[in-house]
Amino acid sequence: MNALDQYTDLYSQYGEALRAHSPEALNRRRGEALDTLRRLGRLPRRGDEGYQLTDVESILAPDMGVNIMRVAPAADTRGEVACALPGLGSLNALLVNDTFMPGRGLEDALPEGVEVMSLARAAELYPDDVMPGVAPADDAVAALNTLLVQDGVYVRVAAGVQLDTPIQIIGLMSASAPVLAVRRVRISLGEGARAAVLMCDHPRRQAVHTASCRVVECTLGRGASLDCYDLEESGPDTGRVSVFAARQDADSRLGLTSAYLSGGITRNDVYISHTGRGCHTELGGLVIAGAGQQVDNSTRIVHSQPHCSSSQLYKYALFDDARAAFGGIVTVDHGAVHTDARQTNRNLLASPEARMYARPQLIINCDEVKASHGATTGRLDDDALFYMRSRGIPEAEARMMLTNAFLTDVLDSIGIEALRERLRHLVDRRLRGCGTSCDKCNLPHELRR
Amino acid sequence: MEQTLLKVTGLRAGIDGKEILRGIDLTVRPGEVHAIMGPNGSGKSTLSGVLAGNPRYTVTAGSADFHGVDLLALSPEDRSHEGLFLSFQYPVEIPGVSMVNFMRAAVNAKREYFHEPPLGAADFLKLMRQKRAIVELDNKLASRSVNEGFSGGEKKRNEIFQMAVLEPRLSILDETDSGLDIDALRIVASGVNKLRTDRNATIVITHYQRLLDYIKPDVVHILYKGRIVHTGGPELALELEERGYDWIKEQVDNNTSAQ
Repeated sequence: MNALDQYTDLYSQYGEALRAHSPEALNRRRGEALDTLRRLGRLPRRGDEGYQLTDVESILAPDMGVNIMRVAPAADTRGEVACALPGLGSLNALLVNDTFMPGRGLEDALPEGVEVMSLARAAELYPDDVMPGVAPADDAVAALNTLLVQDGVYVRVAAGVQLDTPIQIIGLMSASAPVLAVRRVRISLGEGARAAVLMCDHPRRQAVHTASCRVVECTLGRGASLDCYDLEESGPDTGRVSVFAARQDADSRLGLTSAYLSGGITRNDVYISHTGRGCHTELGGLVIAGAGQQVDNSTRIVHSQPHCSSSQLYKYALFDDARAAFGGIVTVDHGAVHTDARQTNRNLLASPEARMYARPQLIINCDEVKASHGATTGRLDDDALFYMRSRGIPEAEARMMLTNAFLTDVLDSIGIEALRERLRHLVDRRLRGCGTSCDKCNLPHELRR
Repeated sequence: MEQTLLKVTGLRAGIDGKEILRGIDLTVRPGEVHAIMGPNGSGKSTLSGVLAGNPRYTVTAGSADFHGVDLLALSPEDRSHEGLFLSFQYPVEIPGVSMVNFMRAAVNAKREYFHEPPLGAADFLKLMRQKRAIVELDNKLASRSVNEGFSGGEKKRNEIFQMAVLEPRLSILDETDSGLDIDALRIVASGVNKLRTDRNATIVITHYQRLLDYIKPDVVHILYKGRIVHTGGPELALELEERGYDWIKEQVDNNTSAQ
C-alpha cells in the first residue's frame, strides 16, 4: 500500500467521524481534495519533477495516528518543550499537535481589529474566509491537508490596523505514540494592515516519531505589509511537509524568513502570487543541517502583474552527511512589465559527505524585465581560515565564525530586533554544536556578555 | 636571556609536490632585525607561510626551533600563541566577521592558551584603543568587517595593529611595503619600530630596499631558488639596490652548473 492510500483509506473509513468533529466550512472542500488525491494516485517521490531530494511518500509512510476524534491534548504541554523564542510579546498561541490553544492572556492582549483564534472557531464565524484557495489545488500536500484538516490558527488583521507586536504561533507535539499533526494556518491582512507572524516548531523530550502536514495560507489586501518568520527547531524523529502560499493585492509587501536549525526531514513549498501591480515579495532562508538531517525548500513566485518585485536569498550550511535542496522557480508572465526578480542561493558544505541539490530557474515570457538568479556551493575560504588561525583563533572557532559570517545577511534582513538578536544567538549555539534548546550551553566567554 | 629565538635548519618545503624551499638555514636572536630579500619566485613568501604553518605547504625536511619549541609540530594557532606573528602580504578580507569580534577571539584564545581568564569588556576596549594609536588606525574600522573595504594602507596598518595587540616574540613582515605610498610606509614602519624591544625580533621580507630605510636591519639575507645564498650586513641591501639581483643570480647559477 502506498502512503497516500493509507490516508485515503483512513478517510473512507472514518470520514464520517472526521466530518462530525469538524465545522462545515472545513468539510466543504474535502471531496474536492479527495478527487485531486485520487487523480494524483500517489504522493511525490524523489526524482519527480521538482523533487530532486525529498521523498514525500516516505515522510508520510510511517503508520501515524491522526486525532480525528479531537481528543484534547495533555493539559500542560509547556513543560515538555522549551520554546527557544520567549519574550517577543504577549500575542501567543499554541498549536499542540493540530489543536489550537490560546497563550496566556491572549484574548485580553488582542488590540482592536486583530483576531487570533482557533481555525475551527473561525470556520463558524467566517465560513467563507478560512479556506481562500490560495494554495494550489493540485499540490498533493495541500490536498492531503485539506482532506484531513480539523483545526489550526486563524489570524485576521483588519484594514488599516498596524500591529507592532508580533503574533507568535508555537507549534508543539504532544504524543506518546506516533502522530501526524494536520495543521492549517490562515493569515488575513486587510487593506493597509501591517503585522508580523512568527511560527516556530520545537522538539519534545520523548522520542516518538511525529510528522506535521502544514498549510499556511495568506492573503494581503492592497498596500498591506506582512512579515512571516518560520523557525524549525525540532527533534531528529520529526518529519514535516509544509505549504506556504500567499496571494498579494496591489502595493502589498510580504516578507518570509525561514530558518531551519534542527529537525529530521523537512520539505517546504512556498507559492507566491500577485493580483495587482506594485507588489514586493522578499524570501529569506537560513539552513543549518547536520548528521541525518534533510532540508528541502522549494519556492515558486509567479509575476503576473506589472511593476512587482521579488528577491530571494537562501543560504545553507551543511555539516556531516546532511542532505539539502533548494529549488526556486520564478515565472514572469506576459504583461508583467518592469518586473524585478532576483534569486540567490548560496551553500556551504562543511563536510565531504554533505550533499546539496540546487536548482534555480527563471521562466521569462515578457520583455522589459530585470531578472537574475544564481546558485553557488562551496567550502569555507582556506585563506580566511588560515588568516584567522595565524592570529591564534583555534580552527573550530574560526570555522564557526566564518560559517556565522556566511549566514549573517539572512539574519540582517529580519526587521524585529529582538527576534534578530535571538536568532543570532540560536545560530551561534547551533554552530557550536549545542542543541538550540539546551540551557547549560558551555558558551565561550565572548558570547556570554 | 636565550641566545637563539629561532633556529631553522635544512628546511625543505613545497606545494603540490613542487619543491620551493631547498634547505634553509637561518638563526635569529632576540633583539635582531633580519631582512630577507630576493627576486620574485625565490621562495620568500613560501618561507613566511611555512613558518606560520599555512597548511597549503608541505614540509619535507628540516626543523625549526622556536625558543625551545618544535615550531613545525604546532598548529598555526599555537604558533601564534607561542609568539609568532605573520604580517600578510595580502591581508584577507573576511566579510561578516567584525574587527572587534576577530580581535576579541584572538586575544582570548591566547589568554586561554596561557590559562588566563578572558579579558573584560572595558579592558579589551582599552587595549584596542592603546594599540590603535600606534599605527593611527581609525576607530571606525573597528566596527567594519575584517579588512573589508580597507584601503591598501589601512590593511597594512591593520596588520601592524594586530601585531601590537598580540605582542609576538618574532614578527615576520611579508612584503609589508607592497602597495604602500610613502606616508603609509612611514606610519607602518614607525609602528614596527615602536614595538621593537631587545626581547623580540623581526624578519622583514622584501623585494625592495625602500622599507629598510625605515626599518634598519642587522642582518640581510638573499634568498634565491629556495636557498639563502648570501648573508651580510645592512650594506648588502644597498648593494642590491644599486646592482640589482642579476649578479647574485649569475654567481649562484654558475656555481650550480660548475658542480
